[in-house]
Amino acid sequence: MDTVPTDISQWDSMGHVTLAASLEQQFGLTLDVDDLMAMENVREIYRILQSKLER
Amino acid sequence: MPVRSLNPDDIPQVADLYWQVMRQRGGASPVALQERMHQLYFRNPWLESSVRSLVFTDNSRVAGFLGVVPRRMCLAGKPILSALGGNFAVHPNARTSLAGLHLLKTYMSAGQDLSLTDSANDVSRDLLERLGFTTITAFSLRWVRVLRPAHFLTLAASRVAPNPFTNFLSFLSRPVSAAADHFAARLSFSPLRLTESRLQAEDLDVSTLLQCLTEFRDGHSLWPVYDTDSLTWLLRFMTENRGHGEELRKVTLRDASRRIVGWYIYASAPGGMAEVVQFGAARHSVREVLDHLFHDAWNHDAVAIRGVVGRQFMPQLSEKNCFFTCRGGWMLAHSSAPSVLEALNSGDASLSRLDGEWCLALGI
Repeated sequence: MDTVPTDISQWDSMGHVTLAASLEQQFGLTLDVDDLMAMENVREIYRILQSKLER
Repeated sequence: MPVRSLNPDDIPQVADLYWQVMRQRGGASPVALQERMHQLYFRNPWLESSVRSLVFTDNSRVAGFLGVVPRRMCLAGKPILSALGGNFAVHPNARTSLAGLHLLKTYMSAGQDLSLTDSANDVSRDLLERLGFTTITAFSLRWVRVLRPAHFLTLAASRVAPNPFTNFLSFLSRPVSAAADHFAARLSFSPLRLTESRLQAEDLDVSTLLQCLTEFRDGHSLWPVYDTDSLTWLLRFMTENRGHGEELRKVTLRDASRRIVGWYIYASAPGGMAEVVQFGAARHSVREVLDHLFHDAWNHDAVAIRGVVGRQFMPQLSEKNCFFTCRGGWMLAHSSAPSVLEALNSGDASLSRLDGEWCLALGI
């Protein structure tokens, strides 16, 4: 859960937006620019997804 | 957040980053590159405190850069501030810091009404679209007019498969290609025949260009705003830096009664693809202006010439046997004002490559 982009060499800006696109497709939700910027680690990603899915 | 405005003291580090990441060269950057960057980012005539170039720092070292140049435009008569983003580079070691995203987010939320880039590649386009930019297809379409078809084919082959064999083949075929091209440009049944224009050519000076930009705006809602100082600076920057070719050809065209009926600016490229920066014409003279342009490019040894498609010139470009492609860089825009994006998307803007960041190439 504490994994951050610097732990994974492919997790650069492009990898980040690709990840966001995959999450959108998988969970059927939309992530805006602020969500993208807040996705600093796996824990934050989980929190953002959870809050969106609960709405 | 480690993103801040660019300072003059950062220029040596930014130039090194550009040199190593964008140019993929080793060692320190040339002093000339540092001088050009200083000129572009600190001495341009549009300096604006709310719109600045950005650096991403990692342990106080510059690890990412996004060059931003403000430009003034008008939308339906009201002034708007645009910010051209370019020379975007992040050091490979800093990529997992998401430096690119932080730089772009800071750029988008600065004080401009319009964020614009006109030469994004496919990767940048994906990233920018994801962040909320819109691809402006109306200004991403290029026309290409082949002038020397045989040379064009060998040039294309050497670009598709750059190896000693294709280079040798290209060298061997030169005399035959030259003869074939000569006939293609002159034979009456050739679709690539060049037509002599009866228009009279003169050097295009800044005051005439300013006059043309106002007179031939064609009723568009969005247009760039220039004055003598800004246009002089821009043309000098392009001439000195040669970002896209050998020589910047600037020509005014007059009819028999000495009336201005058109103009063009292009970067000549002997043995290569000449790049049109801007051309304009009175409604009834478009074909003759194109004829003159093609002839001039031929005389300056271009193999082909290309430019951005202006909606109003599409029929004549097609008639002159140009082909159309989206290769050559995408225009992307971001604005919180729907009317700005609407004007761009519908092609209701008097924009050319003179008004984007493409023409601010550093040439090194």
